[in-house]
Amino acid sequence: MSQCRILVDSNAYFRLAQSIHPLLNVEFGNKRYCLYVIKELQSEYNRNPRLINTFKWVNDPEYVENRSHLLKITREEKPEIRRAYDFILDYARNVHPGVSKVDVRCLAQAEQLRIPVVTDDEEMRTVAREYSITAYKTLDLLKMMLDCCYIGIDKVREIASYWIYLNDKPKDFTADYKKLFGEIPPK
Amino acid sequence: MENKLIVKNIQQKVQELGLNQTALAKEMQVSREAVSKWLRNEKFPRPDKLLKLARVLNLKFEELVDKVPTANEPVIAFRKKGAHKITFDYIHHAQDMGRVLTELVSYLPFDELSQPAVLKAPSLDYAYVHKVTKRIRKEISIPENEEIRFDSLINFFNDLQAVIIPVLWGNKEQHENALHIYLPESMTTWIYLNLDCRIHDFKFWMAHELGHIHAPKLQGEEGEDFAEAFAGALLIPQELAACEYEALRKITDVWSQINHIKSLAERLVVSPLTVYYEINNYALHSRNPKIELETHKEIYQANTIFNKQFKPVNECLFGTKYLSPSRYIASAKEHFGSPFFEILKTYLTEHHKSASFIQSILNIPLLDAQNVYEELR
Repeated sequence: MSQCRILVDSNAYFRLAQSIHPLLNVEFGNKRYCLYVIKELQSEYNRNPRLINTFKWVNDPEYVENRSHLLKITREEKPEIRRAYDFILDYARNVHPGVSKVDVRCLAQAEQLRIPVVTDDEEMRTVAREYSITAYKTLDLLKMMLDCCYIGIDKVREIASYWIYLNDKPKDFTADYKKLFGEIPPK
Repeated sequence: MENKLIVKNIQQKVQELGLNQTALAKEMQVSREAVSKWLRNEKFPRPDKLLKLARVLNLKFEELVDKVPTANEPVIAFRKKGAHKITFDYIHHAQDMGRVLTELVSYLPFDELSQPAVLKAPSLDYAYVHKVTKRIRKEISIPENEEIRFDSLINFFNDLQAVIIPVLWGNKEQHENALHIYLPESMTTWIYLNLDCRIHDFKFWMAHELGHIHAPKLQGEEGEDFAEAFAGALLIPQELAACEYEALRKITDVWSQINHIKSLAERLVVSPLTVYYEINNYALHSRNPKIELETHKEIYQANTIFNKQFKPVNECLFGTKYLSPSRYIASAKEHFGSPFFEILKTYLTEHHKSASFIQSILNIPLLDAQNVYEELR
């Protein structure tokens, strides 16, 4: 069975990568799920002083090394990703201007490679739906990891507590957490 | 912009590939009728079908889709600075911001029945521009030789129903310190002002934007030139320029002339360069010799050193570099009388938008947008 690749958007990466390390390039579960980010995450991070200040760990060598394993894209796939990017960008600019170019790049790769994305951004999820791209929330991903016994419920609770502490809860966090894990989120 | 299919290119490709409408419909997994409507430009394909059509016919976006400008495209204006080139990306981005602002129009607390007055036939003529600014000074009872205070300028924006959007875009050296967006359909004006810019430049930026509001029909270079002349004239009226010109003529030493200009700049809270340019605009108008302070770039050096002595606007307003989201949001109303964040809050609540909407509308990094979003929720 081939690897089940999943693309994680920047925000989801920042939410998870410190708590589950290494987050990327590690297979888990029977379906051989494996997470990736797009290379533009680095430039987005580099040009944003606030991101650098908040997530100082991102440029630590072990995280840089882990992000260096990017999705393999063939020569034939490259122009198709470019084409998808142009179309998705135009649609996003007209209808969902909140979706950034880096988000569109992530969606374009996912569309061409027919792989799911992980994002908590509502507008990005709506655009994904228009292009039949499966979009998971970070909590959905944690549930998948839990079901595969890749992480335990204690880890889920620890991550949830950390988001609460940082005031960085994804949208509909409480309802989603209850639905997925059958318990109320930690305080 | 309105998207239309370039039917000619589609038909040509269909022919090249030996297809017909039925075969194309089958390939696209849609009805023949749907394809027929696309080719008559009666319907535009859904996003996923459009991309599939491009793939089936091997067409690029610009070969398949024509972007037709509509009458109500947002009009963008920003102050040019020197030879700095403004990229198409920047303009497109600003237009995108304009489209997002359209969503907020119906929440504005402005009178729907009337529109503030604008200039009938704005021109660049020195006498004309000063006549206009003299009247404005008279309306707000500020004598020709006195400083126009920030609060007077802010009141003007509000009287003219222009929405001020204070932003923290970092210290920008080029044109990005103010952005003026006019939405023709709603006839509304939105002005982004960067609070990270230097205090002595800030007043000029504000006055410049007021110039745009008074002459909305002037666009592009023409609009920029008028706004530039308007700002100079409003801040340094003719009488004051004439008086200072005479004073400078009596001083023989260049550095003493510069010191004279600096002290006036400090009193008026504008940059020394603004004072220098306006005095020489007066000299040109009155056919007098120019005050020459550029032989060895003295006035530019002095201007740079002068500006470094003062803090940026946000630090002057808040006394700190690190502004909390709550103070930032409150300042829009408190310092600028702007309803922006109130209407944004209402809009967010009613439409369940995410932080990325804030990111787009304020053109700020997502993390900052999330902080603002949390505060407004």
